[in-house]
Amino acid sequence: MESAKKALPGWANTTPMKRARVMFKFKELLEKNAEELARLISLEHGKVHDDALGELARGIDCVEFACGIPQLLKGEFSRNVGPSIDSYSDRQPLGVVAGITPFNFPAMVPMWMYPLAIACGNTFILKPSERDPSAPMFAWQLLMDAGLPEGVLNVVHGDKEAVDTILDHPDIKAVSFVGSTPIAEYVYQRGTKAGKRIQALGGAKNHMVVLPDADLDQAADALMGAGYGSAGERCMAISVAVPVGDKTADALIAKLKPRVEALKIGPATDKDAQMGPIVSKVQRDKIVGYIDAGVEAGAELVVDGRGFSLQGYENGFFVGGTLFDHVKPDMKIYREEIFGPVLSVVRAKTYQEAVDLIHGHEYANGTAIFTRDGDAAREFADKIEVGMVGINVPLPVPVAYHSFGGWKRSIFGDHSIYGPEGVHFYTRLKTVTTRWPAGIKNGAEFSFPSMK
Amino acid sequence: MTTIQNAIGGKLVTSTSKRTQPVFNPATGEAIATLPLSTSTKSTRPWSPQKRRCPAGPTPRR
Repeated sequence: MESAKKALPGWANTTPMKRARVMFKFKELLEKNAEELARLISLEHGKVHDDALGELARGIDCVEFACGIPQLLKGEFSRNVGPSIDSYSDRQPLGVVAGITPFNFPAMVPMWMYPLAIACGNTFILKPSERDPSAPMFAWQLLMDAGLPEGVLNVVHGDKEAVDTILDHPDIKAVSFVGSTPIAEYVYQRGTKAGKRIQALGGAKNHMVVLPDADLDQAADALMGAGYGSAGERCMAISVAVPVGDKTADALIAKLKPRVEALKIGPATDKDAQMGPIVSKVQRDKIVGYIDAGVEAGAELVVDGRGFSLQGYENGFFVGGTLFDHVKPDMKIYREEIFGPVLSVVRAKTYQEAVDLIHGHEYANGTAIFTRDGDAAREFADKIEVGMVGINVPLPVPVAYHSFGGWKRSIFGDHSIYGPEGVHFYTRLKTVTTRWPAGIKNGAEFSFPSMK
Repeated sequence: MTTIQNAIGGKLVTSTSKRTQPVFNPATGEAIATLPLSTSTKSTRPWSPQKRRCPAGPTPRR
């Protein structure tokens, strides 16, 4: 904290152009070191190498957006708001800000936060996940190599004690958080009570509606990537498929079953692997517990991922791809976020029933609809009460120059993260009104003074 | 085994915190690094607790 505070005046007064130049260099170093960063992500998280490279690419996009900070910080000017009175506004940094990030994207989610916060002129304290701390440490080193002054980005590892210390500290002005809903709510309540600006992104249960006219091969492939990619440990993963009509449902299950059974699961060092292990033993056991609960509740287990074992990796935290059919809205596996490679199919009779399902859920992070019908797609995009919507796009994660955020209990706070919303979150608006009394502009008087 | 360090003031600093937890390779189940869990004391020097309790200047108004 002391170091972030000490670095603040110098950094906040550095011109935006010079701050942007550090980001340009950082982007270049990230690209040069992408292979090593991806290796570190995979080593501690478990996701396959290409997926780690993909995560990193989306993080680099956010660094690239931050390179445009001189333009992004431009304010507004109004001449003659009164007689010879002008007014202008600009956005100034908050001071020391902090980010608390989850295990599932150890490089990307921190990059949703600190590049933009720093480019805005703030100094930053990052508390990354305890599970996979090496990738954010390597990125910190690259940012120092890019010429970031000492103390502008600090990385502190810890657990709840570190989180509480950040939330309570009077000199930290804002906190960005990404994690589960109970913790996001806790961070929001404790942080705002301490007078901070908070954006806390929480859990999800993302539904994909499949209408009868959809291309079912496309829909099945999309569900494979969105449901099982990164072992389902994504807040934008599709964990519920909602085919409309039994005929659609039967056909979709017929296409999904062989695909899920054929999933190639392995360590990140296996180039053919499509899905890696679960991040921890605790999380693996929790996922297995959910599958047990689904069976007990009467859902039809189409593909069972329990008991998956890989020769040479018997102690790894693996779960196979799991597919449930006939899941009902009152079941635990439907109500709660599993955060694993478990896809639930909930059959709906009509489009409206599918929409009502989505509206009945506490989470509203992302959703998707697969159809060839423009009218249905437009109606869905327009009326659905979810923050991020995909039309024939299963993972509608907004690009770096838009902003990311769900609705309802998927977010606590008023600003989405990164992009233009990120600039607003990490700055505060100042509006200046100026009037200058008549001065010396008329110059010297050369005529002989006389009484007029 | 590697100990993960904090990055403070442009330098890598080893936390003196007694509380640690292992970092695993989830594919093998092996512990591959030790992560000290920072405390709010000066071991990692995020700030001085004394300053936190007694902010400089006048008592803040509520």
